[in-house]
Amino acid sequence: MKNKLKFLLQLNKLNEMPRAYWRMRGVKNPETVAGHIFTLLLMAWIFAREGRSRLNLNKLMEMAICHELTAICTGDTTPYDNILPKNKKGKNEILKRWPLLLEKHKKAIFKEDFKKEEKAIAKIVSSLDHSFGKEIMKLWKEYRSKSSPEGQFLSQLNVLAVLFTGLLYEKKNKKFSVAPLWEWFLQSSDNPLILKIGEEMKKEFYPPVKKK
Amino acid sequence: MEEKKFYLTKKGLERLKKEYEELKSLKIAKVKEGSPQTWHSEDLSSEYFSFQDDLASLEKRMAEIEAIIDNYEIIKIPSKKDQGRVGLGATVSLEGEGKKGKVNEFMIVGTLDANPLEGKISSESPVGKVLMGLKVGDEAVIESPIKMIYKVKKIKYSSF
Repeated sequence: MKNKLKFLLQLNKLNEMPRAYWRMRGVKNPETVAGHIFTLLLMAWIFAREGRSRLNLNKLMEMAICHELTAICTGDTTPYDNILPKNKKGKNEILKRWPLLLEKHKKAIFKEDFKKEEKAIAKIVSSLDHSFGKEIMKLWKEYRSKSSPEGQFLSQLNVLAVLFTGLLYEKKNKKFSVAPLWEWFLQSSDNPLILKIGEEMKKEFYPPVKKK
Repeated sequence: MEEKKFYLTKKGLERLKKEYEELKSLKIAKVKEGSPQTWHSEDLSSEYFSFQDDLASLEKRMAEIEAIIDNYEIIKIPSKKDQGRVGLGATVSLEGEGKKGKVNEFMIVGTLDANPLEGKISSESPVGKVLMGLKVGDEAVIESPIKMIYKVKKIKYSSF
């Protein structure tokens, strides 16, 4: 029991950890990592029961909880971490688009991040009993490597969850553009259900202007 | 109705076959371990339900992999004359509008091999769909709802 409480205390750090991408983009008081996990959990719960989805909803929700636990050790990371220049102008220029990189660079960054996060998740669960720890590691790995239908679906739903939060920020602040996240969504999504939700979001956030 | 074809790289197929063997061993071990006792039939234990759930999800995933293995096609490098166009297995170099020198690259793969963070995008994604069939010099316009224009700079096929 003591180990589980220790684990819970570790997870609590995510309640206070602001999401790095929104900070980079200049959002004031952005959502925390825990807030993002909650949004993703809600989306999984609401949408995965739609249509002909044959996903294991329990597994999907547990996976959503586990998907960002590594941030406890690594801090919240973004795909821009290795490519942003120090000067503000150059930084803002790069942040206008989803990262433009050669395939070999994308592969190398993915491999390096995966290794770091794998170590982090092993450390985070090390105090838990073996089977619980193993279960968390398995769920994280399936998500990160997209090696199961739930992992594939959740990684696409995660993009949608970030886009959804971005759309809320864009609605509040017209100077904030969510364009790079649409770019990410259009590269990352091929699940028909995810694409359908994306279409609905488009209608909701960019309603057609009524002619007078 | 025609069954869906799954396009896979050799690596993707190996990964699936390995997963299938692991699931098979796991199922054998689980069945050997045996189902938890259920002597109070009107009050089945949570362990019993959890055991049944685990077994059902193992079997479901195994059936999915079997369906893929029955209907897969390995992505092959196309003939020389077709290598000028973007197809499955191609690595495409793109230049963004107004971003001279800034190159973005994707490898176009089937849905099961896709991992955009690794640079592999699905041929069924909106960007993948637009790129399929293009040749060097063509422009790919994606407008949903943000307009993005890419120019195809290079198409390369290599073994994977």
